Amino acid sequence: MKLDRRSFLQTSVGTGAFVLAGAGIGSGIGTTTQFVVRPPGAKQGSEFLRSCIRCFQCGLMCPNMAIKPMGLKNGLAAIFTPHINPREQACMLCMKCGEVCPTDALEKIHSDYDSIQSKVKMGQAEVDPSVCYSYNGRLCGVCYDACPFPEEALKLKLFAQPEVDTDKCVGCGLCERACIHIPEAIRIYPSEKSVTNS
Amino acid sequence: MLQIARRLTQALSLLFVILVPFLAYLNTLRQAYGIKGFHIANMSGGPVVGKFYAVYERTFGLLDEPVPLIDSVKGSFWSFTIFGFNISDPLAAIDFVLASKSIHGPLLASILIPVALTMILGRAFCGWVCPINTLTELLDRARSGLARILPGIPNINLGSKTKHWVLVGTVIIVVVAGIPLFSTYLPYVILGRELHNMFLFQAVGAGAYLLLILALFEFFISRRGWCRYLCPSGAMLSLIGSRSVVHITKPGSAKCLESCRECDRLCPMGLDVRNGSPGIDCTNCGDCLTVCPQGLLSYTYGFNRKSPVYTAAVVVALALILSTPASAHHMGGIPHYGYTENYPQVPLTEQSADVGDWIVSVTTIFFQGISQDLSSIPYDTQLYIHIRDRNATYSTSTASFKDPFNKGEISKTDNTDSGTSSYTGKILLTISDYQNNKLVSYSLKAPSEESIYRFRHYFKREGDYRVMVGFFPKGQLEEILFAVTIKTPGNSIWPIALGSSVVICSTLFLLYRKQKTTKYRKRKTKMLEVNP
Repeated sequence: MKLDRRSFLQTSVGTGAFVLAGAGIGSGIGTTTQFVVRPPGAKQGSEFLRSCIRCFQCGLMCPNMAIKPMGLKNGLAAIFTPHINPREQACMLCMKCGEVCPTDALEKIHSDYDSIQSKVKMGQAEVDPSVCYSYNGRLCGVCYDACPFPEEALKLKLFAQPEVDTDKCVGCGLCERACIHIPEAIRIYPSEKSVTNS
Repeated sequence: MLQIARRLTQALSLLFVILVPFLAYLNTLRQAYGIKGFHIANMSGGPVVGKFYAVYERTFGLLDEPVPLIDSVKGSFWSFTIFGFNISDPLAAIDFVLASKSIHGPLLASILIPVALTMILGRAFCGWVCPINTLTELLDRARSGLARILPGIPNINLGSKTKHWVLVGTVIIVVVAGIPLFSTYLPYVILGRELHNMFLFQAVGAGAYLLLILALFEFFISRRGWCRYLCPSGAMLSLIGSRSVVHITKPGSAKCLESCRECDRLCPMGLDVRNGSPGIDCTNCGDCLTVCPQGLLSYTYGFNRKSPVYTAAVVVALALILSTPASAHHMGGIPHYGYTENYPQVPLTEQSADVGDWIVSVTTIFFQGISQDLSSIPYDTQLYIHIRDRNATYSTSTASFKDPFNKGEISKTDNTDSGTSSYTGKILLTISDYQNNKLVSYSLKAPSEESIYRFRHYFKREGDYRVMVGFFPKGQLEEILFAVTIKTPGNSIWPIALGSSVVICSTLFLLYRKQKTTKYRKRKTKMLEVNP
């Protein structure tokens, strides 16, 4: 490739502007603002953003269509990354998504009790007693029926009042999905592990 | 024959990109509703999905276990898994390594087959497989028809080296910003992703508009512009395949017809085929072979001087591929329930704000039922208002509670009176549009259920609204204003697409003008040199 001085200057100025613009995009729009629930076994925070190649095989694999691609709401850094909105469709802990991940952004975890309990921490369920039916004089207990680890992650007290065990809850969101109250009385708060920006 | 083989390969790869997400969708229905799931699929997905599901039942459904079979092929050309083997684009690996600054063995192993094939076949992925190339070839035919009517249609030459600069520039940005970027703009990745969105979620994202802009660019501004001048993947593959085993040559002794320019005219990459070897940008598509009236051009299966190194690399690569562990594995028996789309429990907006000791939260939810598109009242919305005491106390034995909106710690006491911590008195609600014209006002004397106030309002159209909540703690009116946006998700992309296409088109027009003036200047200097 022959370069005279003029075109060399033009090319270098152009490349410089391109790089500056990219760095601006990366640092400015790239900062994330919202907390999201990632698929099970996801790496921590920004490490996940860097290692996900956005191929979306996990979403194609998900039998429950719970994994959805993210839009621009968390900046350009998180665009097209997989996330779960438990209220729409929650994770069933089948662990198929980790199997197809080509980069180990989602860890490969066996779908059995011990591996899920020890390795998966998508978030943390929390009950809002001021709206929950069972805390306000009615009997409900639907979240307990939905929980994959009943009597461990979620216990029912007197009058079917739910109580979350923070150690056993993996944050799958089936309780939030099942809650019959609007707005939901039990919610998943993404764990420190899944926070988009660390 | 060659052309038939190429068209067949292209059609198969296009079919692959379309079928994988479609079958994935049918697979989720199959897993959700069981073997005789036709009626439920018909109900929840609509008659079209029902018909497709019937076809699926008559083909894959006849197998004993169709689910693991279909699950064993997943992905698009950016990265796909086939029977436990992962195959990825070389750029995906570059993206990952540069952004995460780490190396992941299986990913590097997964690019070996494409790299080895490119070393043997050159940039054949572009000419034979890439679905975007297939589509733009069709577009190019339409464009040549248009060019017959409008001979002055612009055809900008951005220079075949530009794509290498795009590659280098993106690589630098990826390193600086630490974000994988190639997947956000490569059109064949976007095509795969938009097809996923289309089949799995019945919606398309911003990528569809990028594809539209690309089509307009190719059609009106630059003939085959993306593949010839801009595609960084093409640049990457042409570098890897620069010394490919298979390439197109013309024997040195062969003499072309004097006025024949058929090969140059037809070459989709706009290369100089007539003068011998077309160079590294050749996609080995073989169009020139078929068109040459004398049959002078041919594929050469030759090794160049450096080829022993390359052969060794290919052998090592193949050996490594064989050692990649297969991880195919499946589960059965998955529960499933609920609607597939727009379940009316998912909130549209959620906001909260503080008024003195009270936390006011407003949740809006579309309430049209299963499908918003089919609803006769498209913006039938329910507003849920909940006012709680900041210093609330609950009867519970859990150590501490976090407030769901503010995440503030709420201290634990042994108070057994539950439900008393929320405001339960009279409430006023005023909805006005964004120009502050009052639309409607409601009032409720007591909560609709427990401590939740529920209002139903038909918004006439999408847009921003003001919602004023008034309540009476200690007998005095306190008011607080919320801004609520009512809109169907995924509809607001048109202005962005229009704006960005205008910007891109004007930039390209400026480039075109600049190129013309440069040519003019060069001609002028030449003329001055000739007659000073």
